[in-house]
Amino acid sequence: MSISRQNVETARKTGQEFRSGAVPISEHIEKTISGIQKEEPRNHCFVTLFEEQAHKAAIRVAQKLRSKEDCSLLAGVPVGVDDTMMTRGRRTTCGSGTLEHFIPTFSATAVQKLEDAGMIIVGKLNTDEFSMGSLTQTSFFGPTSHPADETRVAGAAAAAVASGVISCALASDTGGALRQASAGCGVCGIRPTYGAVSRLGLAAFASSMDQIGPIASDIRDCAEILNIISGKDPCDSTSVEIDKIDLSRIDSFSLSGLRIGIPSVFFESDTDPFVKASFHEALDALRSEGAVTETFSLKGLDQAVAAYAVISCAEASANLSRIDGIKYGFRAPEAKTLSEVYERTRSVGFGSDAQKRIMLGNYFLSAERYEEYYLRALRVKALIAKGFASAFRRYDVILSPVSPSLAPKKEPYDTLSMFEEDFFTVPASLAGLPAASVPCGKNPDGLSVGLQMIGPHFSEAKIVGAADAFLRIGGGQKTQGGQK
Amino acid sequence: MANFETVMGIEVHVELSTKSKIFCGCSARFGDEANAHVCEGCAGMPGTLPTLNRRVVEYAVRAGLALNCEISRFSRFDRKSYFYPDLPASYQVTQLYHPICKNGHLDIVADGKTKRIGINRIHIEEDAGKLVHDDWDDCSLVDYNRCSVPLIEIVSEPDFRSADEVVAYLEKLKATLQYLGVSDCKMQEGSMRADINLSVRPVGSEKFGVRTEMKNMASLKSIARAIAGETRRHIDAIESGETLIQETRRWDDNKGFSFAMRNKENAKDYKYFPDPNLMPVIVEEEYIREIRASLPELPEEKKARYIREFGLPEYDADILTGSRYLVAVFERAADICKNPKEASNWVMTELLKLLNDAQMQPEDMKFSPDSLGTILNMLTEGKINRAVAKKTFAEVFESDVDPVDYVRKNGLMQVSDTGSIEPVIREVLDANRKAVSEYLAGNEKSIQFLIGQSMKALRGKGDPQVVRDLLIKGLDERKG
Amino acid sequence: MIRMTDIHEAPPEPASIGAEQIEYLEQLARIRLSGEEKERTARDLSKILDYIEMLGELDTEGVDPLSHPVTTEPVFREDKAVNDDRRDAMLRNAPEHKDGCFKVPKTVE
Ligand SMILES: [Zn+2]
Repeated sequence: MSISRQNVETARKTGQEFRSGAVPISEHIEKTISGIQKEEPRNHCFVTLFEEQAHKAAIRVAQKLRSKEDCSLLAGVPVGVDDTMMTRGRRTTCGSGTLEHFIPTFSATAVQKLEDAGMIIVGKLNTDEFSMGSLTQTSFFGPTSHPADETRVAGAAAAAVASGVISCALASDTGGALRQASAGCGVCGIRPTYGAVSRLGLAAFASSMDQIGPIASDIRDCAEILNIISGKDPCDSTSVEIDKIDLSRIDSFSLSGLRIGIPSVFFESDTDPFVKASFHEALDALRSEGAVTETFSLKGLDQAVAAYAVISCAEASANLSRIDGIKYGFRAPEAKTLSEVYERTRSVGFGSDAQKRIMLGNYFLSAERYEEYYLRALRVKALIAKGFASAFRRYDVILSPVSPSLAPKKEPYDTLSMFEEDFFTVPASLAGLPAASVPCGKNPDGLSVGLQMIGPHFSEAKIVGAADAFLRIGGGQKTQGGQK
Repeated sequence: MANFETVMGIEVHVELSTKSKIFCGCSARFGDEANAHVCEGCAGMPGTLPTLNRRVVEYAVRAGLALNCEISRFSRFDRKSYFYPDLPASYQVTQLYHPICKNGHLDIVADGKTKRIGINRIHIEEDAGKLVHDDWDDCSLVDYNRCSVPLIEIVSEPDFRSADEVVAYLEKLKATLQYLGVSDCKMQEGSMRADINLSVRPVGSEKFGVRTEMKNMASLKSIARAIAGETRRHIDAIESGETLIQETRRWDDNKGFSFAMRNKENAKDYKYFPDPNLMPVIVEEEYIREIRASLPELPEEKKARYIREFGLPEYDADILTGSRYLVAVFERAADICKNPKEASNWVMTELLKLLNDAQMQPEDMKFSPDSLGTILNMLTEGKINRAVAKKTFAEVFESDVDPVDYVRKNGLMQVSDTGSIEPVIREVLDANRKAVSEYLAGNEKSIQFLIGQSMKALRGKGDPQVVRDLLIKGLDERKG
Repeated sequence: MIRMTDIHEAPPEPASIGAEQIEYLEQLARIRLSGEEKERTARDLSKILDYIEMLGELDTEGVDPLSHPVTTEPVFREDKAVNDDRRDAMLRNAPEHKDGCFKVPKTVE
């Protein structure tokens, strides 16, 4: 049993209580929503609450359970969904002023799958504007507060889970947002293999890297949710089928003999001392269980953030061109000509970070720069992907910290430093690899750090097994000075 | 004029006749209510993703094979970005870097000479929507029905030197694509559009002049006029020392002059890059073989066969095979009546006349393909006479009536039994004594008048031979 | 219209963003910045471009650019028109619409 957090019931346990009839779903949903409402003024995790719809869904799912209809183990469990995912008939803002009142006409495949499995979406979680960031700093609705320190920022899905108002959530991960958010709040998150979860209905940031994944306080809950949302979607040409994770065999996963690789640049980087110390302690703990660690060099990792910046901005600039004030969303009211509709809408509608990234993307894709930046970035990406592929012939997993620093303060941020925060997370994004973030330490102020476990394509089961074993030996509960 | 040479290349956009759009399940049908065929995907809503219509690849490969192209085993889609209200995603999905077909050619006949026109590439892309201007409200209204309808763009080499060559190429291209069934190529509905790249240089010069592009030419006639007009503009500029700029222009057929287009087309930087949402299209040799095997007989082969097998004159064979829609009517009629020459004659005379009178293109014909053959059979079997056959065919052409029903309902069956005709003949002879006596006096021509009167009395249905025989018999009796 | 020769026409300039480039990028991105924003953005973008210069440190000679990290089976849709007329739903989020169309200020080519 995971011991990552004791104050929250796991989603699986809650589901079990619904099935046994010990707890009525409606009552639990009501409690969940009032819990959220109570915490919201401080936490600012949610952009929209679906109170009425959640109550209706609770009645529907309870009916299904009573009539013994085929339901998932998580039927009835409340879940939060990142506001970059479309929810049919329910507001979806993508954290942007341009879509402040947008009501989509369809649901994201992942959202639909959760609802088909009987999970109840209680609301939409705060997000960086079109996912451009990790810790809600660029959200139109303002940042989410860190559960341990109100003066610091946090990813909303992770903060909501960490604060105990929900047990699980869906988040999106392009350069590492899901993993950064999980690490910062001391919860678990999995970014699956690129394509394992359909992107249909996820507002695009950088399409070649965007992925949806679960965040939960419990890694097994993450696995259970991943089992629900993964699968090839005929509507997403880049989607792939992955094996479902068999949780009945997870207890037997042994760390003994696990081959762990650590890219040497990950030791050399400019990383917060506490992050460094926690990472080393985690490695010690793994070695003491018989895992074998080894450092190796992977060409291109130094340039990964630069390549990521180029590719993500380029793709975002094209993806966000559709936000033009014509078909939906905000249109600058004073615009009189077509040019004004475009320019005023986009100048007023987008936040300044989004504007910078869009302009950068235009720069990288402009005819005379394309070769120099975009193609070169794709070549670096190729080298990194190749480096990982050959490393995975020697190692089962590759480990690193998740973020080089602790949760930042609510202060003006700059786009470059946001890119640099993604140093450890973008390599897996570029290579389309699955990666989990599990808690591996908490400082005396309650700020958490995470351990990243990267595996080869389609190795979600192995990553979950390793993460679960790591958490079982108490890896996630270390605080400074080694106290538990 | 004689000192200059016009050099032209043509880009032809052809809408493929698929049932659905290229990347979503919306209908690709033309002519319905505005925005009736629009979904989240083709309206550019957030979170949508494209999935490629299999038939689009098939049609592009068919076209490529018929135009003698190399088919790329690997092709890929790129985004072409620009802001315009007819483009909901603000980028068009196209194929810049790796088009599906390359290096083909098409032979044309112009000015009595055969000429090979090089085809640089054929690529797949999506169409854009349509803007309608609302002058009353001083605004424009956007309709996305055509948005994401699949297109192929066929890019020629700069091999054209005259408007005749351009027109011959477009006609041949149209016929070929129609044969293949990949497009209906209706210029007036916009399913075939040509952009002409034109430059002028002194005869003998190797260097190309400044090139201008004329967009979306809507008919073959206006293309010929546009080429003449734009050539004149270039020559005037060169001779008066003005500088020509490379730009996109719109031909105004009423004013007889081209005008530079604003913003959209002259924004140069399209920020092309591979679309991360679409996987490359990998075409296997086996697939290419299958499609090649399924290609229909193309105009040239068909023409040769018509001359060889049916003994049709070359001119007739050429006209017939110029449109698959004429071919369809001809072949079906020939098949039903077992008389290709007769079928050809009817298409060449009656059908072309009807089309011409109605100002219609062969592709606009709506009648059942069996009808002409049925009419010709009734004619040979003597059930109707030739005049009734023509009249019936005109009705078929006009409103797709069933010819057998039509003849029966209107009582147009030919009357050839002597019992019914004899009394009529007697009445005619009685009523036209003057003509009778003229005939009897040796003026044989007046029998034509009497035949006419008899046919009129028989309401056109009389068997002309029987009428004639009975008239002569009656007249002979009156010789006394 | 696509022509390879339209690409790579202008010679590359040094990778620092000046007033002129900012204006070009504003035009490409359809975003208009105020005078003060222009300066700040130029500074920020230049800083990022400086950082990205490191892409040049890696020898990528002969490496094929990688678009899709995970190769998948080709996905096709069959040619079937399955969507109903959903015009009203599609127009519901439009800032302005008229006669079943999206409405924009008068636009002539
Ligand atoms: Zn559609």
